[in-house]
Amino acid sequence: MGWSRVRTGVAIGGLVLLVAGSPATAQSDEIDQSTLDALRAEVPEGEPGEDDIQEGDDRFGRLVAALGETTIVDISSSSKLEGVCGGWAFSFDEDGELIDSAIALGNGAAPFDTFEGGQAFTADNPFQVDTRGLVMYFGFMPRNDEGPMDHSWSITTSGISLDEGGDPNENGDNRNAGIVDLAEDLPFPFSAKVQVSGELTSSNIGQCIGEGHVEFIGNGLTDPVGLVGLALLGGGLFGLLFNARPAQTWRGAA
Amino acid sequence: MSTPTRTTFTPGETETKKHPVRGFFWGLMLGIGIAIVAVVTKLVTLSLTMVIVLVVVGVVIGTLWGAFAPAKRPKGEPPPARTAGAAYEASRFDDFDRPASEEPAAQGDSAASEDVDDKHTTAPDLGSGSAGGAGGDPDTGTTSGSDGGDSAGGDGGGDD
Repeated sequence: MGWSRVRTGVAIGGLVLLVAGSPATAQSDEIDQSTLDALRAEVPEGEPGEDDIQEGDDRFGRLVAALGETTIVDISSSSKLEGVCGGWAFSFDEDGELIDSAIALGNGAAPFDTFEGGQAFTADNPFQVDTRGLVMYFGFMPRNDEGPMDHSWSITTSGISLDEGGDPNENGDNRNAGIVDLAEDLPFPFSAKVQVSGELTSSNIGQCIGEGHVEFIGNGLTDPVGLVGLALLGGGLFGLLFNARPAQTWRGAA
Repeated sequence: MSTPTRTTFTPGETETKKHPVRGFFWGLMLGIGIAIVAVVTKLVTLSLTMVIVLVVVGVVIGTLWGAFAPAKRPKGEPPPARTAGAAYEASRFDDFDRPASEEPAAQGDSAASEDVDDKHTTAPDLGSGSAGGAGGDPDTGTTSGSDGGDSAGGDGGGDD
């Protein structure tokens, strides 16, 4: 049980936030420009260190303060996050430009899009990530108490496990921060819109469950996957037209 | 000399070959391609259910196409009416490639020659024509066995 696995487990609350959304209540699509400017001001310039937990927590506090005046309303159930988990995430493209950001307060409110406003991780407003970029995140579960002990977690899509793990977390760590370098972690760029579910179960503070939509941004059909798809589609059409079509032959022709 | 009169098929008559199995596999390929393109272009959200649906759609399209699509017209001109005599013309050299070790001992034995006609249908070796005259007599129409070696048509072998 390495320290990194403990952190991974603890961070799952934040990671679930990354790929999920929040329950019944949600925040308004209406947000004034000054609030949005205040939220964007919290986006760090440059890359923070892997273990900037305190900095991440401080930033979370400032984001919460900036969001404080936002009206809370029901919007959509296409993303949800249940449990005492929350955090924030910033997504950057390969040039280091911010392309999306979100925050989940961990109080039952839906994750909020701090880049454009409105509920985050929904089908209409998926969290965008560049497959050659990176994502910064900070996650907690819970924010001000002992973290999940003897926990297990999993991330799935369509019932298929993408990743899973678990840890005793005997120290009771409750937060983590870090960077996911997609250019390094993914074998090749691609484009897709994916619905992802995440779950963390612990022995002391119950579950953190989330569902949401993530949009991977690549070069579309010009990525290797897209070219393979085009080749298969074209080959299938060619075969159907020129090899599988019924044919008449002269009866008894030599 | 008698004239062959027995016609074995109607001139200009066609038959349709269907290819549902080919269509299945090409449709499978098409369906996978459609699924990938649809996901990559974000027309659909990536999910196992959606991928399976798109692949099945491709398979169904391919299979139905292979079975029920408008048939291609036959190539070339319809063959002339085949008669017993014509069949003989197509097969009169069939036994020319017989290995020397299997050459019939009695060159003039007509019964042995008919047996050979049934078993050898490969291209003739025009360099050894000693047995040619023994293949049969066009006037008697004794070449029906060799007709079975004819190809069925120009659509390729190994069909499904």
